[in-house]
Amino acid sequence: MLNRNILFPALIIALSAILLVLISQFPEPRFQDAPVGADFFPAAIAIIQIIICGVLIVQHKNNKKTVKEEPLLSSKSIFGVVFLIAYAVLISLVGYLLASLIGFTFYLIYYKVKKPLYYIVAWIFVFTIYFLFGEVFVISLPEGLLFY
Amino acid sequence: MKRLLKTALITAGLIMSASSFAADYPSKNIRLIVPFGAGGGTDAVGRTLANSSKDILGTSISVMNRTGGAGAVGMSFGANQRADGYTLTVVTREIASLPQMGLMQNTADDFKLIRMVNLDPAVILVPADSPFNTVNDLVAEAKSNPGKVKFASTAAPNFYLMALEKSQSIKLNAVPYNGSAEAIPSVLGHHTQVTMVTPGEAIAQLRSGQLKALGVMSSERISYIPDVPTLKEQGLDVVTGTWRGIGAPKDTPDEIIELLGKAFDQAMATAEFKDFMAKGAMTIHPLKAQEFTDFVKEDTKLLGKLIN
Amino acid sequence: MEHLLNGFMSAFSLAVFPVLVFGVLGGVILGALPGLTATMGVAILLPFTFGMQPTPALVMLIGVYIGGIYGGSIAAILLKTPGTPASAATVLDGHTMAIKGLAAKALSIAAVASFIGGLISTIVLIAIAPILADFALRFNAPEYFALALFGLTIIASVSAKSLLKGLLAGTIGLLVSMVGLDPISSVPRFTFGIMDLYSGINIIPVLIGLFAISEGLNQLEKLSNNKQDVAPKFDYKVLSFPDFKKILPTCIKSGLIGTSIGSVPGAGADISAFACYNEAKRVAKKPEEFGNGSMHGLAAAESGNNGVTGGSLVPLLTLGVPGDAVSAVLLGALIVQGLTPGPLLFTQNPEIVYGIFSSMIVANIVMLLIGFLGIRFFCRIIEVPKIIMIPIIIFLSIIGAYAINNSMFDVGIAITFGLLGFILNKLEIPSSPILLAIILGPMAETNLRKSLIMYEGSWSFLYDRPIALAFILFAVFSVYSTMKLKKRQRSA
Repeated sequence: MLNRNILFPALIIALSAILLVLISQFPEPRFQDAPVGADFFPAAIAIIQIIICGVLIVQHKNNKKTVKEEPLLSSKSIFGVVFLIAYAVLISLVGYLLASLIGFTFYLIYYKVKKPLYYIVAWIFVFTIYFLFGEVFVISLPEGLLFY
Repeated sequence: MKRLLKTALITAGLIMSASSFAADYPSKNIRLIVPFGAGGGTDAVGRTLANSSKDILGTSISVMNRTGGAGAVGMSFGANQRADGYTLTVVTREIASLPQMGLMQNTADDFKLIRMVNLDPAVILVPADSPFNTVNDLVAEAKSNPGKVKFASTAAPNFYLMALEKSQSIKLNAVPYNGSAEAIPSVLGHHTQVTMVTPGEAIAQLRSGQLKALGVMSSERISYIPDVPTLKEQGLDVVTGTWRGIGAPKDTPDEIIELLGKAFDQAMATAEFKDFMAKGAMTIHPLKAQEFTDFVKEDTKLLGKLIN
Repeated sequence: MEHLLNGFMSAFSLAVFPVLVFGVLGGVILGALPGLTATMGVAILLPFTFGMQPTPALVMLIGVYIGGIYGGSIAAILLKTPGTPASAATVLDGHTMAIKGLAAKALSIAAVASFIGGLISTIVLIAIAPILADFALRFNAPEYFALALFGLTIIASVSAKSLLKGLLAGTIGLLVSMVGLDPISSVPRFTFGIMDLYSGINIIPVLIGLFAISEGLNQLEKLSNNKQDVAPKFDYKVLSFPDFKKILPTCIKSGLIGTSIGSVPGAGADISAFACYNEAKRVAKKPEEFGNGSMHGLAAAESGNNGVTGGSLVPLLTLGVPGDAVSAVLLGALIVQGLTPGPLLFTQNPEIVYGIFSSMIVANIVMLLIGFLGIRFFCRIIEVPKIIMIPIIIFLSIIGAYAINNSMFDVGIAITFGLLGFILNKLEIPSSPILLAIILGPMAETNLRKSLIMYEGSWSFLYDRPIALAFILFAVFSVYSTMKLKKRQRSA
């Protein structure tokens, strides 16, 4: 049966193979000739990686112990990943402040949080970071494409 | 919401007429993109200039470090920002070299150059106890033993070295280090025999006498190291070095460029800025917009000859 | 000695002491936030020092440095989100202790160990800086290669369950570290024409992704399983005196290792923390405790990373070259003040040198006090309900990934590695080897190739340079002792 302990190493083997093809297409250096070229180490490591993954697969097949597995990605973690990406996209569009206020509020609503205190804490946090970065550390926060 | 409205109005204003917008410039903070990391030489010059010009411009300039690709990421980012004078970029010699090496899409033509800030020559340095005492000693050794003299290179490829190699038809064994902070200890520890850096990068070792300067690659001697002869004085016609300046995206209105240029002239003349540059052994070279643009064109051609 | 006493007088003077405290406190806060590093802190403060007197200016910057390295441990212990690569080794045992309810103890060990590491480092700096400088100058490409090779063997000892899985994480990290322009020949590798990749993948967003974001996702998943928000139990018991006596030798040893590593330009707190952890595990009576909340592991990592602080000033003060990014800023600060870093500083401006030395000692004491006084306050962070803490961790991670280089691209990197770290976690593949490989991979590769250029293709540098040979033997020995340990564990 295909499970994660076989699928993941197999995936890495496939990726390493693609890398080996890419490595063979590295351009020739123009300015520096070196005894060991730019392609040697990436190729060596990709090959070692394929060997490790191969051994891992064999090891797993020999290991008869079957452990009951939780699903790799639960619905909650998928929400987490989508939330992360949406937040990052929102930041690049409307900037840190708005994106964080919207993001945090949405998150609390999604989890059906009813305590008003939590909302207040969330907003205070967002503004504190805004103040800390902008005024104290003088580090620019993302402004967002729409506003700058 | 207020901000949104304001931004919308500013944008509308920009579309309607660039010159009417320029009238109340600057009305908000200016960003200065530094294409190298916080703490480096370019960063320090950018931050000091920003600090010195804030009172002159009546608005603060916040420095934004955007590193990567030996300056390519930050400079391309700066070139592609809105041309409203609120995003400026520190441009360095890499804008002339990287595009010709195929490592950067934007070129100096994507900027309206405002002012050159500093121009620093390369100095040829050897350990204090090195058998080389003049540049000619070094060239003679390289001629009799081609590819044997170990050169600590601050970058790969190294245009200071290539300029010397080309003019003298010699070849050194260039070991690529990551900047002067690695190259100088390598020479101090006698792992390599010679390096080339700007005076500011080696001023501590020059003052303490740990390193010996064989020659400076400028057309005239440098005030910080008055005893070091130029290569020209030693009969070698090689002039090379590095420079920094300030640029804005190419569609920035001329009024704004002019206004900023005058402000930077004043800033570079402040005691604070002059003091900072003098202590760091950097030479202020305040070329005006046109001269700076011509200079960059010339340097681009020069580098092109070395690269191809 | 007289200079040192005068230095202490000035460290406690009204002009210096407040900026010192400000610097350390600011550094601790910066270090605790993901993505904000001590380097950024000192670079941002640099222009403000132009108008200051030399001593307070340098003292403030050094305070930020010392505080910043320590600050990373707080978030690492409590939230499993190391602020800097230097505190990634702290997570291994520090966070495990916090989970077991020993947060206060872990925080106090971190504070004490950091203090001891920093103090030893400063004392060694004062006593034998010129000798260390000579040692540092002997380091060049072959030695750096050997050091990196030795460092890579630590992967074996941080691979908790399966060596093979640790090695796989290591090769993934090595390949990631090769993205970008090859530093030797400028050939683009795996860049796909994306300019943001030319200088390689920045380690800070990777760190944030692998540790902070993946931990956020992990917590989010657990949230669904038990609806009740139970505050984890813990007590406010700090480090006891017998325990202190137990970890003291580890701290001293790690402080010394950290000082040596710090004094070599280009090798910093991240390598030191892992090397000290490795060494502490090697000599431990119960090495199986490492990774499961070992006091020694935590103490080694913390005194190891703070032990670098004094060491990294060695090349700056004796040679006038910066040993790391922070001392590069300090170099700038010295020059702006009209001082010449290097040997001349000792003869021309001894008051500055000893002012720096004594205020480093005072800064370490201030750090210890902040660490201890803050324990109750820091522990409160654990009591914050998970439902609100998770988004805070995630938001801070995203902002931190952005702030390190003002780049949304880095945010994308952080999210990608967050997802990778989350999946690897499920497969029981450890994340720390990826980090170690990214730190050490480029160091090993470029220095090996640099050595070959220096030696014109000959490999003789592997055996005719004593320091390089020593590190290669260390590497062999490190692999051997880890293998022996694994074998013993299996048979036990």
